[in-house]
Amino acid sequence: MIRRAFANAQRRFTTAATAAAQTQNAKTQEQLTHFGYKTVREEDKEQLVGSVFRNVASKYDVMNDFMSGGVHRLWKDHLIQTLNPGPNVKLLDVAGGTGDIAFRFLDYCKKVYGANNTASVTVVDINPAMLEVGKERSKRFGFADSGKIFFQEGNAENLVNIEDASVDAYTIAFGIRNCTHVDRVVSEAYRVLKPGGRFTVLEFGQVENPLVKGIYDLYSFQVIPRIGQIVAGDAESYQYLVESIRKFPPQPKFAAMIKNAGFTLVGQGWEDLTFGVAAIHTGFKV
Amino acid sequence: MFVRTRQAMVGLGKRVLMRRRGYVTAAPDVRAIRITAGAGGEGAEGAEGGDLARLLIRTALDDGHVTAHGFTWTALRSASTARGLSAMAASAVARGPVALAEQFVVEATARLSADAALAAELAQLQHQHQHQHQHRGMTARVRTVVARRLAYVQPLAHVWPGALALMAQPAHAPAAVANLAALADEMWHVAGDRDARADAACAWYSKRGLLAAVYAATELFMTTDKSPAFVDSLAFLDRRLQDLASAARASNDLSAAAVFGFKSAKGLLASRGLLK
Repeated sequence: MIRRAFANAQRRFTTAATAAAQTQNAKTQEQLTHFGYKTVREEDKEQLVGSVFRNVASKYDVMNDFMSGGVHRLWKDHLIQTLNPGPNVKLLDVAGGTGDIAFRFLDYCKKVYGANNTASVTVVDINPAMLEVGKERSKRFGFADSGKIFFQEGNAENLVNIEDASVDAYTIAFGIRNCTHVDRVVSEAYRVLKPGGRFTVLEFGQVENPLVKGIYDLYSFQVIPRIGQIVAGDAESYQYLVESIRKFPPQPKFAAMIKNAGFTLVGQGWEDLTFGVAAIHTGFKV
Repeated sequence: MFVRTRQAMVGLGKRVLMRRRGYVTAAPDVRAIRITAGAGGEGAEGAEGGDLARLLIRTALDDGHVTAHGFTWTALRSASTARGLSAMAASAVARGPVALAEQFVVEATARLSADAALAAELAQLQHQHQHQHQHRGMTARVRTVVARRLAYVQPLAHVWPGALALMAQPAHAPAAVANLAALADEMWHVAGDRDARADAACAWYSKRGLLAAVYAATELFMTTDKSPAFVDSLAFLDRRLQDLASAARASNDLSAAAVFGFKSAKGLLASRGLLK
């Protein structure tokens, strides 16, 4: 009798201990995330990413040209073509600090609808250094006082200055993979879009073709960090960039995330660019 | 192709597989989605996205947005806002304005066999011509059917050149040609042609081609016709049908007449600057 009670108590204790250990485990797992191939604490990732982009801000666009052989320009042009904005679209371009998407958007609207179109764009970026580059370029391109472009510091996971259902289109180009909680970014996009609004993501993808993948991997890990070293004097930041691409969910998985946030996909939900090196994902808030 | 690539990928060895495990598990779903996506037409937009596209096309055609703005993105955007959606939703119609034009053509063709007034008119003709030569009766019936099909387009005649220009683009021409062929078949059928001769197959092809050419030419004529109730277009149609009859008499090679018809249609398009 006493022995049984003791055994029971022991069992209960063991169960409690295991449960405690499991909670502890889950807790630590919850707080960890990836930073390239490294595992870091969640609260550190934002700062680490911040430092990467502070390091590369001034050289960001030049480096994109060097690394992609200029192809990123074609991808971004194609993004605007795919977006196919109307003459009075309000665009929110998140993580678009240097204005690459915003200026393309404004140029497109000017070309298609003439100078009197009422399209406008708000550029949000978490990184002031990147925004500075964008503002500088906006002056250079003559958009600074046009009332068509606005720059704003903000976090994609929590767009405090953007109201609910206030924009027609939301773009984020090569930005979402640097965010700690991709799902939060997607649901914030859902929140700020008007009904019928379009969520468009340009992001690196996973290459499916094994032959292309071999070449792509070799180029990413052997060549890009070296170019980074030579052109920007910073190999590590570029090492992070190529690693973070591999850590981002493959196209079908990311499309499922967009769908789960409430968006309506058209077709499979994405279009592969250059063998899937990059992809344009689209969801409609309907 | 996709399957083969996957096999090759699996053959790359365990290390690659392990690293890409998430991807490999996800692959069957992708295939399922891709097969659906290959089904063709705006129906290929996937279940929900397809619904959105269909809704916008329906609204644009039925609620006067195409009448007001033509077969354009503006019409689709205007349909979006009329539905309480951001104009941005229009881009869910991935193929854009040409999807509007194709939808219109397919529906107008389908309308023929359900058109009670047309059926009554044809029955009347059948009655009138029952003592006459069979061939003449058929010509009258075909003329009636073509005129009715043209009447469907008349409310949009002012914007129809835009639709023709879109459908004549190389990427869209195959579908347009198929739709025109289907229209010719349907017109012969509704007119009551039940040709079952031994050489019917050959005759069927030439008949289809000839009628398609006549229809296309008349439709094009109609887009610039300012006469009341499009009487000039109907006169044009009668002349084309006469040409056809005389061409058929002059030569047994009906396909030559069809080629001639096609060339004149092409010439017309070019003269309007629609084909380059």
